[in-house]
Amino acid sequence: MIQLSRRQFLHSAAATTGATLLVGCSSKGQVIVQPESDESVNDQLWLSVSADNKIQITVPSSEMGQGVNTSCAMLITEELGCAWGDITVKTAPWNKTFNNPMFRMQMTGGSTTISSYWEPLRKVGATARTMFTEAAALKWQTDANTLSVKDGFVWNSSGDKLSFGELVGSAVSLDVPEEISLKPMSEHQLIGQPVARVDTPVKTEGKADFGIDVQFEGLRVATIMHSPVLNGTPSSFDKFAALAVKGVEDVVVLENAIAVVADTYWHAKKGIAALNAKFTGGEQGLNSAGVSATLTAQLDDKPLPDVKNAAEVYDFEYEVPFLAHATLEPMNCTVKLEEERIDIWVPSQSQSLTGQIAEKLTNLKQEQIHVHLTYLGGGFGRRGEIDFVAETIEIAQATGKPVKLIWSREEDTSNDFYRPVAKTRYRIGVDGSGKPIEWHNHLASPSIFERIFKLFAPGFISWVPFTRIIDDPVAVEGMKEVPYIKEPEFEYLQTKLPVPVGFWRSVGNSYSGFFTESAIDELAHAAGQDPYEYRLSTMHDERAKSVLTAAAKAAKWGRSDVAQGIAFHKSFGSYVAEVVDLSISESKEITLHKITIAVDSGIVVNPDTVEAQMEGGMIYGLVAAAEGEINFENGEVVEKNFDTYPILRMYQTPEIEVVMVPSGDAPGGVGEPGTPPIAAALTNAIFAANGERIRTLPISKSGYRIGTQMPMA
Amino acid sequence: MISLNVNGTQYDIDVEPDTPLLWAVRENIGLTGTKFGCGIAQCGACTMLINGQATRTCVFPASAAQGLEITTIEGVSDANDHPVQKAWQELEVPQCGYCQSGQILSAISLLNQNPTPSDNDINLQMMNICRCGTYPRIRKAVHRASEMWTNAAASSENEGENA
Repeated sequence: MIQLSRRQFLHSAAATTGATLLVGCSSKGQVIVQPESDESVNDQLWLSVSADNKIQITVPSSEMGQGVNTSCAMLITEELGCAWGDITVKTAPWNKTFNNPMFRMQMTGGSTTISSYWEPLRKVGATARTMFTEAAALKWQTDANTLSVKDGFVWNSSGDKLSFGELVGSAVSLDVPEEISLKPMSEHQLIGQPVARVDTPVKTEGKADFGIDVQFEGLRVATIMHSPVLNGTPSSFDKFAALAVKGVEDVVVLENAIAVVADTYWHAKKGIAALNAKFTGGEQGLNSAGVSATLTAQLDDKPLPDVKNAAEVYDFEYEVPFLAHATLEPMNCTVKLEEERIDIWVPSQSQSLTGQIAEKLTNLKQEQIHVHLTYLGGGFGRRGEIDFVAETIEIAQATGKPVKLIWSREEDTSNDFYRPVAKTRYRIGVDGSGKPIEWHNHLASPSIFERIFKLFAPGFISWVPFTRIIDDPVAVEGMKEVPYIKEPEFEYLQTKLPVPVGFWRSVGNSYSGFFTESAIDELAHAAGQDPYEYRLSTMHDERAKSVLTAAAKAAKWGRSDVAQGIAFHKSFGSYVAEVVDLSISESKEITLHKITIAVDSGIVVNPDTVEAQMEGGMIYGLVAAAEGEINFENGEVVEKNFDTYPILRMYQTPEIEVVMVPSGDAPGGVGEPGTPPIAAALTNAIFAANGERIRTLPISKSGYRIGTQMPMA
Repeated sequence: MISLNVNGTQYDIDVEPDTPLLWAVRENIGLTGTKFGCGIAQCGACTMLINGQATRTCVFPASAAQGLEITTIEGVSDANDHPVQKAWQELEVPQCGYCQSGQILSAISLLNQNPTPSDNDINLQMMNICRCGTYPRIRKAVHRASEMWTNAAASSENEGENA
C-alpha cells in the first residue's frame, strides 16, 4: 500500500469538501479556470483553492535545492493575495501544460525556472485574484474597483470580507478575464524578500522523501553492475551463486549491465558480488593520454591563422578534463508496472522525458503513465537523463515485480554523462596599449548535442532552426561571444570520442569561463596592467562592468596582505564576477582566505536563494578546479568513489561574501552562473601569488592542494 | 535476530550480523532519514549517533550496535526544535537537503562534547560532504546553535537557582 504524502492527502481532501476553484495555465500562457470535475483535469492544475481557503500550488520544476518550490509559490502568492501560511506546494506531474517554454518540454535546467515561469505563474495568481474580486463584487452588488484583496480575503470599503473559499462556488461560473493586470514591482510584498523556504523544515528532520527513500509493501530493491569497460557486454556470471544469497530473487541481464533484485539493497549488493560477473569487449583502448592526444590532433589539424597587424601576438593553450556530477544521492528510480498502468517515482529533472521513455518501453499511453517526482539529492544536470529510468522499467518488466533500483556510488561515478573534456588554443593580437584587436580561438571538445538531438528528435527538430543543428549550441557558449572583443574569430572542432557526455552545472560555461578569463588575465599581465583595471577598460557591457567593480570593491582589490585573482563570466542571463584571496606555502598548499562573488541576476525573487545559489555554484566549480578529474584507463573509469574523486570539505571552504548588484532587468538564472568564474579566479590568484600560470585543470595536477581556510582581518 | 535500540525504541530485526547499521535502519526498521552516499565512510550521509558519538553507519555492522543507544535524525527532537535544527532553519542551511541529516547529527555530536566550538573546532570535526556547497552556512549555524544551546543552559541554571 502506498503511503500518501501529506501533499497528496490535502489535495484529495479538497476534492471531497465541496466546490474547488482550479486554475491551469497552458504552455502558451493561456489561463484556464474550471470547477473540479474528474481526475484527468488535476494533471493540468497550477493552483487549487479549497472551500476552507487552503491553497495548493503546483510547481512546474523539480526541487533539487535551488529553492524553486518556494520561489514559484512566491510568484503565485504575490499576485493571488492569499496568506503565505495557507499554501502548500506540490511538484507538477507529466503534462505539457507545464512545459518549460525555453525547451518546449518539461526540463528543470539551464537555470530557467524563474525566467521561464515569471509570467505564467504571476498570471495564474492574478487571474484567480481577479475572478474572486469579480465574484465578491457580484455578491455585494458593488463595483470591483472598490474592492481590495489581502491574506486570502476580498475586502470592501466598509470593512466586510469574503474568503476565497467562500467565493469559490460563484467564481467558477465566471468567464476567465481576457485581460488581467499584474502588480507593479513597487507594490511587491513577497517578491524580493528572503522568504523562508517551504522545504527547509522537512529537510532538518529527515522527513524529505528523496527517490532513494520510496518504500511500500511488496517493493523489491535492485542494484546493478555495468560493464567496467565502457560499452562492454556481460560474458560470464554465476546466476545461481547470486540467487543463493539470502533475499535475492532475480538476476536480470541487460545489454551492458547485470541487475540483481532482492528484498533489500544490502542483499542485492551481496548478490552482485556473488555473481562474479565478467564483461567483454567495449572501448578497451580508451585512456586519458589518448583522449588528450586526440584533442591535440584535432587542434593541430586546424591551425590558427596568422595575425597580421598587431603590436604583439600571444598564443595560449588550455585544457580541462572530464568531470563527474557526483550528486550525493546516487542514481535511483522506482517502478510499479501493471497491465494498464505504470507508476514511476523518481528524482528527475524531467517529468516528460521520464514519461516518454516509459511510453516507448511499455507501449502504455500517457494517461496510463504516472510520473511522481520526489525531492532530488542533487541534480546538476545528471538527472535530466533517463538511462536509470529505462533500466528500472526493464527490470520491472523482466521480473513482473515493483522495483526500486539504486546505483552504488561506484556505479554512479563510472556511468555518468560527463562534463566534456575540452582543449583550446588562442592566438590574440594586441595593439600598442596591450588591448586585444584580433582574437582567434579554436575549441576541441566532444559534443553533447550530437546525442541529445537523437534523444529529443521529433519535438526538437520542429523548433530548432536548421543552421543551429550544424553547431553544438552549448559547446560554444562563452567562447563564441566574449566581453572583451566584438567579433572573436571562433571555431568549434567537434571531437569524436566514445565517452558519454552531458550537461554538467553551467555546461559549456564551465570551461569557457576558465579559458576566457585565463587568456584575458595573461593579456593583462603581458601588458603590465592590473588585471581588474585591464578587464574594466576592455569590456563594453555596463552590467558586466558593474559586477566586476562591485566584486573588486567588496574584495578590497589591490590589498597587499593576500594574493588576489579576479574573473568575470556572463551565463544564463546573469552576470557574475568572483575574487579569490589566497596565500600559498612553499609546498604548494593553498590557504583560501576569502571568496567574493558579485552577481547581477536581474529582478530577484528570493535574495536568500540567490545568495545560496551563488555560494553553492561557486563551491561546485571550486571543487572541480581543485581536484576534479575523471580519467580512463583501458576503457575503465579510474575514479569511482570519494576516496579517488575527492570533494572539498568545510575546513577548506573560506568565508564567502555575496554582493547582489541591483538591477531592474528581466530575471536571469542563478543555479549555474556562480560556477564558471571560479576556476580562473583561483588560477589567476595563484599566478599573482607566485608567478605560476596554470593552464590545465585541476590544479592538483600542478601539485597544488587546498589546505585549511583562514579568514584575514 | 538482532536487537537494536533506535531513538529509545527496541527493534528486533532479522538481518545478517554484518549488515551495515545504515541499511538495517533504513530497510528493516524503515527509518529513511539517514542517507546512503558512498558506502565507504567517506561522505558522512549515513551519520548516526551511537552512544552520543557521530558514527558512519554504512560500514558499522548492525550486530556491533546491539546494546548501544542509537540516535538517528528522527530521534533528535519531537517537534523539529533541537537548537541545531532551529539554527539550521533560521539560517536556511539546506539546499537539496540530502546530506543534512548527517550534518545535523555531526553537529550535535560536536556540541555535546564542545558546546562553544571555534571555527577551527568546527572545521576539524565536521567532515561531512555537501555537494550543494552549504558549508559556510553550516559553520554559521553551528555557532548559532551553540549560542542557543548555551543560552538555554544558562537560563535553566538560573531557574534552578531561583527555585
